[in-house]
Amino acid sequence: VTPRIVILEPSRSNPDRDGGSRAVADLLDVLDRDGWQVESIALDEVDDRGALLERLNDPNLVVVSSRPEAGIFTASSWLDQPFKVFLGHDLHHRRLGRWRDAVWGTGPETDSDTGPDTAPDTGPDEIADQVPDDAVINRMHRLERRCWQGHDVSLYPDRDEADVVNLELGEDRAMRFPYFVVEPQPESPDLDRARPDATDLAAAGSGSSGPATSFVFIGGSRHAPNRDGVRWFVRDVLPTWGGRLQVIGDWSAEARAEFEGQASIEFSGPVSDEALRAIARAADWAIAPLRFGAGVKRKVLHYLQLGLPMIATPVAIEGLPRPLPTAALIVAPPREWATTSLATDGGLAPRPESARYLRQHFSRFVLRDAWLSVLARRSKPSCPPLDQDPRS
Amino acid sequence: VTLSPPALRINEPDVTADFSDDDAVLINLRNGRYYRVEGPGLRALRALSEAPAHELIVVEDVARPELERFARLLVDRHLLAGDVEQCRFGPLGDSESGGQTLDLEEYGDLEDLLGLDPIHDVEPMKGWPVRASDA
Repeated sequence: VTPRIVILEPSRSNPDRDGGSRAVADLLDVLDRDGWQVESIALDEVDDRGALLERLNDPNLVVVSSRPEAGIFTASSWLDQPFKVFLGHDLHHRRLGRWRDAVWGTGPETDSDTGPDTAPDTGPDEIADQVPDDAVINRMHRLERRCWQGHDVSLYPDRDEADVVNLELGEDRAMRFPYFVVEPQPESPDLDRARPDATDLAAAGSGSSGPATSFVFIGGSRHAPNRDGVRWFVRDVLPTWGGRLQVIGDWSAEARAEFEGQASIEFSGPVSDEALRAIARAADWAIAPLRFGAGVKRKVLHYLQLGLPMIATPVAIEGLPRPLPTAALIVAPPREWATTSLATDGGLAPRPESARYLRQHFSRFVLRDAWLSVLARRSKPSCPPLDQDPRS
Repeated sequence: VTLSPPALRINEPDVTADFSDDDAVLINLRNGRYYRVEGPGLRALRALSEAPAHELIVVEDVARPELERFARLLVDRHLLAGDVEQCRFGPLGDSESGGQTLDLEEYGDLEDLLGLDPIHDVEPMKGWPVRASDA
């Protein structure tokens, strides 16, 4: 019997606003196209969750809990009949820990290639106030562990994150799952062009003559890694490289105020698809200056989709399947950005290679096959409800 | 010696409780509300949910009226089930006031509980990126 699928979310998806919702929308779209019977439920719209649980306790159901809030709901319940899948999106406690470390310059990753290596940057007080402390991070870790224990399988976009879960649980209960469908855009002569050969901005310096190099960043200010990354790039890198940064996305007036009077940065706000393509045609480089975070960063896939070459931190490309499209991508730890030569492999056109990469790893067919691999685990005995009282 | 069952217990299966050394998080699965207790509140929750009926319940540094108020609050929130009248709160003979206050933190959702900035990346451009089906 083909199982029915129920996707539980904390609140109604808004795929135009956040990457997690986009991932759920992509999954729904693929399942719907393939003829699965799928229902999406927003928990904050449910008056009686107990009644919902009774309805969900059906052996012919696959319950997909998206994000820790829905995961906690399912994992803490008495559901013992359906096959339970947890969409973790990323290891939240790991991302929060990296945020703390990036701001305070603490933690074991400070000296590694992937960790923050610039001076502690608390930024405006209102940002520092939001940085999670150890108690919050530990609580999140505890809640995530409960989600893993209470589901038959947990899905993460990064193989390493799935390995972390399996190691912690001591059993094979987590899998890598592609999450996103990012189809290449149609061929375009403008975007298919080869990029100029090596652009050694570090050598040229900010006093270089000729047209200023244009950089583009996509992402809103509500997401802490975005705000930290733009602040760091403008403060520590752009003065060396020269050029201008165009920021696309929703930045609050308060977030923009931090950069007031700086001519090298321009906030364009949300833009249309057409305007974004025009910006991509005119831009020299995309940047992904993320100093912390977790999971696969959708913005990096967006840059590949647009055919833009990019420079990224190791954190930004974390979890992307290898090999990476080298014509489109330079990866450097934050401390090396200012001295990095912006040259991709042999002046190749980045877009065709990016398109091949996206088709190979982020097509809807890849997502469908991954989903079938998840369902193959239904043949194993289902996960019993967690003990309701961990003390016993 | 046969002990009576507890007068109060975690209201399972509608409520789930996750205890650690530092705090306990309780979730009411009926309405999705989260609760957290720590310090003396954690000690009180443990004592209330474990003490056999009619056994004296004593929580260090907590006055009897405060402990009783806390028990009734937990029952009112449907976090504990049972009959408060079967509880014997102590310490008897001590001052009826003073001591520590027992707090129950209540949250509307998980992000409130954790006090976090929005968790997921925000891509605020309406209509973008375009899915293949929309193009």
